[in-house]
Amino acid sequence: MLERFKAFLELAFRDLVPTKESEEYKAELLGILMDRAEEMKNGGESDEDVIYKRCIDHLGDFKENFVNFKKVAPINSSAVVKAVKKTAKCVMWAGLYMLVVVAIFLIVSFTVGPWSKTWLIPVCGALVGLIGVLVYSCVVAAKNKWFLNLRVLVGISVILSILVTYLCYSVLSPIKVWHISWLLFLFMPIIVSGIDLVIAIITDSKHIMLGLSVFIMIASSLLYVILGVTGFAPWHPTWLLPMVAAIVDVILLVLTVRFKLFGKK
Amino acid sequence: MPAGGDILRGHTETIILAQLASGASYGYEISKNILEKGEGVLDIKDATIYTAFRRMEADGLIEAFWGDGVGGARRRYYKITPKGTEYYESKKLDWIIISKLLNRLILGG
Repeated sequence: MLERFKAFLELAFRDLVPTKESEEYKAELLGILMDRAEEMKNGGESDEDVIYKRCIDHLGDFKENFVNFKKVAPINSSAVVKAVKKTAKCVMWAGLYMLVVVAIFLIVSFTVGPWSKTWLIPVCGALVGLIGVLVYSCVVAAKNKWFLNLRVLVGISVILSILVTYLCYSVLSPIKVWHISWLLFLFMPIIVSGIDLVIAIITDSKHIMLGLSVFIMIASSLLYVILGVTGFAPWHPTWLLPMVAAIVDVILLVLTVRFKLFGKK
Repeated sequence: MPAGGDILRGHTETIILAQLASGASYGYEISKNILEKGEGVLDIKDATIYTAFRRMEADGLIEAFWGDGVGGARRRYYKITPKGTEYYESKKLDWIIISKLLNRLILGG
């Protein structure tokens, strides 16, 4: 009988958002139904169908209380169609873009060449297309004030842009010094965390101090490595740079926690 | 024939509070008590009782808590609050006066 009542209530409540209140109402009604059914059984009624019907009948118009609960939004078929159309349009444009890129790749490869360099066209073409989509998403995120999304999207865009730069420089540059182009990847975290900090300041983020602290640590550590690798500065005493940065960071964090700067401008 | 509706309208909450004044109870037990004390004539549907529960709970007249029910279902118990007791006492006094007046008006005398 419990399952039968549960099925009845599930069906009756299917149009409601399952909030705490609506679920409690459902549970309370189930309790009442079960109590009544038990009492009828104890009173000698053995026909389950009769018990079920009488119990349900005695509930009365329980749906009149549904006005107090949130209803599930009906599926808007026109909105679904619109979303499908929009997605199809995006896929179509992306496909068209890639077709153009592949066509350029083939034309350039067969006419100018060489193939050892032209492979960059489809690879970088795809990456540039992706960066374009990300930039568009950044604009949408900024317009809607989705700042966390904006920071993530900008970060990914910068990483992909550096990757494209690295690929182009490595393959096309006449100077084949791989470790110099590889240095771009050491600059990448500094650039990403720096841009992220700038966005955090512009958008008045709650975690500016944390962003600043992360930026100082990343920038000082990687600058130390870059300066050391390139020979612009000796390893000793340049190690003092990340050391001082770490001390500054600790002081900054202590002050931040002490004066509860987190969450404030 | 069990009846409710018009006869009980306006008194549902007081009737429920009267049941709860003697101790915590739950929906079905209150409904059963009303039917028994009403000699099978007065009956209140479960949904009506629930509506009254919600209203009184919101007004702070009663408090709810969950307990074990039968057959795997849970049971929601209700108990009267001091504010509910105060409200019930005032409603009882109102009823004494109103019932006297209604008797005079309807039965004459």
